[in-house]
Amino acid sequence: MTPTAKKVPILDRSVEEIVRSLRHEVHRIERSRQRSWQAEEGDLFSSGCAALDRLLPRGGFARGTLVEWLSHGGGSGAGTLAMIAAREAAWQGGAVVVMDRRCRFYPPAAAGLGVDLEQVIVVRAANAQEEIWALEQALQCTAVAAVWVSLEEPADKPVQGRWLRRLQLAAESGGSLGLLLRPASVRGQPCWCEAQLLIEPWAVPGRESQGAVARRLRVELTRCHGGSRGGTVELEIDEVTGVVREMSSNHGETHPLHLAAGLAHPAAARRSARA
Amino acid sequence: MPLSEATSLLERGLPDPGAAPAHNTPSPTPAAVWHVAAHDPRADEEKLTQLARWCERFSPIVGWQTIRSKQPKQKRPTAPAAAEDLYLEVTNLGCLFGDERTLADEICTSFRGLGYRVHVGVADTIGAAWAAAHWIAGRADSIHNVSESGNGASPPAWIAPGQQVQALQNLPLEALRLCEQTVQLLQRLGVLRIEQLTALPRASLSARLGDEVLQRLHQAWGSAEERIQAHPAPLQFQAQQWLEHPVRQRSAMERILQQLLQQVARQLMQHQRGAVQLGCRLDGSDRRPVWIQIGLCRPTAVAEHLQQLLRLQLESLTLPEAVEGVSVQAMATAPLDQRQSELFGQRPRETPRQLALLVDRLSNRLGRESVVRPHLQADAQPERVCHWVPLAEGRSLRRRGQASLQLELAALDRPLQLCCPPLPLQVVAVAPDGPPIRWSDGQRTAHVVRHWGPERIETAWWRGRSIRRDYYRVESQTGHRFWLFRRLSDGKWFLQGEFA
Repeated sequence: MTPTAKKVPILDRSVEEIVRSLRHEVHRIERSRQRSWQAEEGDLFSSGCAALDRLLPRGGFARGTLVEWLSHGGGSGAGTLAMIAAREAAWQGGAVVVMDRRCRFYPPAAAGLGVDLEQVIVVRAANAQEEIWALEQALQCTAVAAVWVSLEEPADKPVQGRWLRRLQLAAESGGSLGLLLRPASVRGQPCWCEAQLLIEPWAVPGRESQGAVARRLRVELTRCHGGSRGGTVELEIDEVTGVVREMSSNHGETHPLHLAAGLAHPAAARRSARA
Repeated sequence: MPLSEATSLLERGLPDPGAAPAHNTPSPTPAAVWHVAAHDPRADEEKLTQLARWCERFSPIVGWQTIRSKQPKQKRPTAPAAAEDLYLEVTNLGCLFGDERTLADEICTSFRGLGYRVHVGVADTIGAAWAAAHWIAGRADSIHNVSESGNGASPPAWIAPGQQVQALQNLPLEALRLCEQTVQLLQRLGVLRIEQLTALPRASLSARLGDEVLQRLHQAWGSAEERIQAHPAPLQFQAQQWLEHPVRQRSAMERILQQLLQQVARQLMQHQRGAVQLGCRLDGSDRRPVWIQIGLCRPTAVAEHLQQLLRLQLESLTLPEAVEGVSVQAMATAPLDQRQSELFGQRPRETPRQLALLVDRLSNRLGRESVVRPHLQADAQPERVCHWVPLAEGRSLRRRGQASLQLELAALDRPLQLCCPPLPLQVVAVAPDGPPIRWSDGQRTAHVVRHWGPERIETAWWRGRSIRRDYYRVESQTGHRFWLFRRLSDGKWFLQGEFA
């Protein structure tokens, strides 16, 4: 007779064990619900860049989730990456809703990134409260592929967590992708997003002349659901085509790995061995 | 009549032909000012329909067409382009107005009040009444001068019951509603009046001229049946309820609204139509009624959706303290979209109906101009490149006809966020006409490490005040990118946008 596993009564377990088991149960329930949704709607979709997809725990963005794009001030490029993600979501069908409370959205830029303006609906709420309501309505709609919004939050008055929770539930019920642009000051605060990305642009120092045509951004995964955070990727956006790719880190240096003997030039192999 | 004929008539009537003005612009006479305009048949048709509806105060059966016995009735007759007659069935209605003569006088007077001059004929048959109106009450080929005869109206012609044969004997052949070709043929044969026509053998008339002549004669005498085809009454979709005891609770009023909306939805579904505009009126004892109006992107006959939209409006209104009456009406309707459902179900993300419901909710809560679609147009000035089209009130979610302009720009040539109006900056540049090296808007200062430009943008001279700017895309030391411009008229710098 094989001994069966003895079930430890809950009162005998430590607080950490109880919290761990509860977290596991919650995670399992949420995973099963989202997995069934994905089975109905299809696979995940790309962020527009393979390198960024590799950074994400699922290899892409999932429908019915919120993604936060943090940045330090305007002109950072976070909105561009978010708009590219909206474009990817809309390619599989559905509208792109842009929340534009301050009437600053400029459609020619979105068109330049490949967004079909026939699929774009711009919503201009009168105040922040109306905007949150409209955001919730748009995320709940099953005919919306993605919602792009730049939340203008003063440092002392960020969007309340209960509203973000409502937005997350709305996105789950409607199956839309919520792309929230927020200030970097909210980093570390509780959030309900599937992934939180910090976007930091950087200029190549010492090159003050015109010439290079790629915009460079550093993307850090500061928070994610069900995956390891802290990963970083450096991207560059081609200014002409809008293609996002991982920035090459070699910059012309010799690769340290040896090539196969039949392919490598003997002189190059001897040089790399000495390096 | 053709425009050239009308013009020649006007020129004949001018006091000084030598001083005649340019074509189609006659000089005003002391008595009247002539207005020359192209004939609009559609406007005539709509107006005649309106007048027919207005004439229902005199008779329940009003139309502009007649049908013979055994002729199938048209489902929804429309007024023909040249229709200028209205037929009213006034059998046994004279007693409601005194008598038939009084009824005819009242019709004349009422039309005069609307600004129309009418000729009225009353008889036992439609044919005889038509002949009386055209050839006894007023001649069809005369032009009345309003100034000479006061209001230009002629007294109604009334033919006593059973006297239509005698009354029409001396009238010309046109009074029988014969076609012009038949009339000309008879006139060539020397037959000018109805009296002469009735003296001819009936068999020869039918053999030589067809059935039309005998048919019209029988219709005028009353021996062949002819009926008025009533114009279609406009469909009304409305429901109302007056309360014995005024309602003060919002929940009770919403339940009443729900019932009324279900009634209206059923009426709409019966005719396969959907509401595009819905009005709701709340009557209270304390003050003037409250009107609520909602617009819809697509026609709908779903009561729940209409109630949801009404609720959004009610939340922002101050309602009467006690509501005594509630009425709901579909003010504008359109045929419902008929779509065949797919066997394996439609992808929910591509359902236009779901999108239309979203647009309805957003538009009715935030305002019609708050839910828009961008439409690009050709304009050099960046602030005017985009035109915003509201999506509400029945507009198609796909703008028909005029396609959005495709701009020939690189992917990152334009910023995702535009400052409108542009923000003034303090800029330090190497040269007066050179690129910026440092800029500040009062809240932040940025050093420019890279720039692209200048891109000169000038607006066309026919636009009025010309816009001339040199645009630069700049990258700061932190990698942030902005779109600046220098106004060439005074050299001042502005922030136009941020590459978010």
